[in-house]
Amino acid sequence: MFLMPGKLAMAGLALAGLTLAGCRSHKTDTAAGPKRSKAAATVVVDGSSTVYRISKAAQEAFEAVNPDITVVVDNHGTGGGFSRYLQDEVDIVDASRTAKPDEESKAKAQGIEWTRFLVGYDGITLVVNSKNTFVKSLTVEQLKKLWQPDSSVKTWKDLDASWPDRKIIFYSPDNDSGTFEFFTEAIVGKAKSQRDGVQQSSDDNTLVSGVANDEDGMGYFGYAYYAANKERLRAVAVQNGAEAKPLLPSPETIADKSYKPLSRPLFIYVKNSAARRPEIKQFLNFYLENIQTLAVKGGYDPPAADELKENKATLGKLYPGAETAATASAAGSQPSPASK
Amino acid sequence: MTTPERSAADSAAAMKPDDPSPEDLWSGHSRLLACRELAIAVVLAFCAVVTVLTTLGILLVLSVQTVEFFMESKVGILEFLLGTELRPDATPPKFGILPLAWGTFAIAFGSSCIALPIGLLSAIYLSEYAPRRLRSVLKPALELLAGIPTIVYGYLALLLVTPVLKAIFEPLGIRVPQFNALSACIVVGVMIIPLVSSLSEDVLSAVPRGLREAAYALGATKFEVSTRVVLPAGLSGVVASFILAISRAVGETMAVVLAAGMLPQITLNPLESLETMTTYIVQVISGEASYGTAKYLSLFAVGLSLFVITLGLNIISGLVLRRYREVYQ
Repeated sequence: MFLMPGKLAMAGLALAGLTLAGCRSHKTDTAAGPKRSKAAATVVVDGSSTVYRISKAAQEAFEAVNPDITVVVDNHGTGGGFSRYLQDEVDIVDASRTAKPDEESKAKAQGIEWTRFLVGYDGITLVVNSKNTFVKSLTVEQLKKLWQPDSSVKTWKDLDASWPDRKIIFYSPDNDSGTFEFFTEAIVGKAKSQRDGVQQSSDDNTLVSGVANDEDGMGYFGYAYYAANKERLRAVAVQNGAEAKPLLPSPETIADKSYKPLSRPLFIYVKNSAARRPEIKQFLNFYLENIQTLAVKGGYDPPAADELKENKATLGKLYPGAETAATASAAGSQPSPASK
Repeated sequence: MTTPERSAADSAAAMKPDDPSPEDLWSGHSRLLACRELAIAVVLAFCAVVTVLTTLGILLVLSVQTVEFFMESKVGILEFLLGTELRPDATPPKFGILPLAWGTFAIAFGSSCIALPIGLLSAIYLSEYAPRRLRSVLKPALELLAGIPTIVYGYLALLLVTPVLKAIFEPLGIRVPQFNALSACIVVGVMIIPLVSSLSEDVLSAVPRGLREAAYALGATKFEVSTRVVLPAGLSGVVASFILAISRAVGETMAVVLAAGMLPQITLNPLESLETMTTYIVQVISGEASYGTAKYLSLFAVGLSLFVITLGLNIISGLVLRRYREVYQ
């Protein structure tokens, strides 16, 4: 009884010491990362908020079948996902763009090998408020004029003389988002450079609520977030080139790749060393086996037949020896080649 | 390890209070009791020290990382404090926190405009006018406001206050963006009312009864007694409660993150979006910003600025309390 307070005090002192050492411990913390995640059967997925919807669908379906394995899905943006990945905190990255050369080289320098799988197609959707009836379509040139840095467009009238003279309220994903990078690259011509005065958020739902409630709002995000909020938002057709037809994003125009230039493939990047863990293998097999349903459930277009085949071949390479046609459940029961 | 020495020193300090000397009470009776008493003193002293150490630790971390930020980003201190452009991802990045500071103070000012008068007037009512029964109900009810989680205030701003503002202003032809400073000011203002009312009420009701009676004896009305006698007497406490409330508004995060928007800009229009220091911190932390980059380190620089502001306000409120307190016996 009398020893208790003393022990408490010691623990407390240790705590205080930790606080003081807090600034140092960050780096060493990440070194301990893989051990921590290996102890429990946990799969950590992070990255693009666009792909998040597919991975979330996968997580829900997977956990219904395999309640023992915990899948954590987060959405820190593609860039955020990769940077956590390089710190060894994440097993699978959701990516709405391919890895950048500096991410590739950092991974190489750390000896992290990864495998890429295509999990669907998205069309970045430009949206306005549903009360906005005048903006029907925009050409890529107009979009560039609208979104480029130092853009002089402040009101709708600046874009088209017949439109009202009201200030546009801009919304876009934040700078860590793959959607942001892809959009600026495709429209402005330079990745990550965008006009000023844009409300940026890493949460697509914040953007949805902004555009849905601001009559003069305009924003862009992955197709699924538009599809889920169709009654509150209106998509703007994009006209690519002078004689091209303005096209709205839809499963059809995204699938036949005619929705240009804002169609893009979505990926997951799996760390090869992590993929050897049985729970990851099981999850990955499940994910790719059911990708068609999952992609559609997430709100996107599934990969085409030849891409599915390619995924399967890549998976075969990742797990040499395992039957490529293995079903999710069979893959789970197979002994995993844990020791390299 | 210096631990035993330190705790011994602390306990010595803690034992000092001028109780009747402990030897008299325990002399020769029980070593066990004496040990127990010592242990308790050590634990208590330790708890007091932990708080101080934690503050020092946080301050140390913030300062070290802030210095690292200035070295990494090569931004001058003046450029940081007075720069009007905040673009951490541009090349070269710009780290002017003036728009953030503006946003923070604009929200603090706006919410004070709501909370200080309402808080003070309700404190005067509670301490001078309200019947005792009513007061015993009203005061806890007001304090209940402080118990509402700030995230709830945040979505109330989005789902209730902003639509109401829209309904009021949009027929007049004034656009109200979904994320605007005014709605954040209103909810933060409501949030800090109890700080003002509760603290002020304590101070006002502590003003000695004799003062009031003397004023009544001279023929003063109730209103005159309240405003000319009681309020000046308790002014230091009232001002301190104001400053505490403002410092709370400065540090408020969740409601502001949800309601005020994410647009670092300097504007006088309350119906525009703003970004506060706290929102910036939330934004950077939930994004990429890999460890060691200037953007990541800017978190600490902004955090330290915020800390300095709130600490400054708290110190001022302490000084006001001590300096201008009218002591009555």
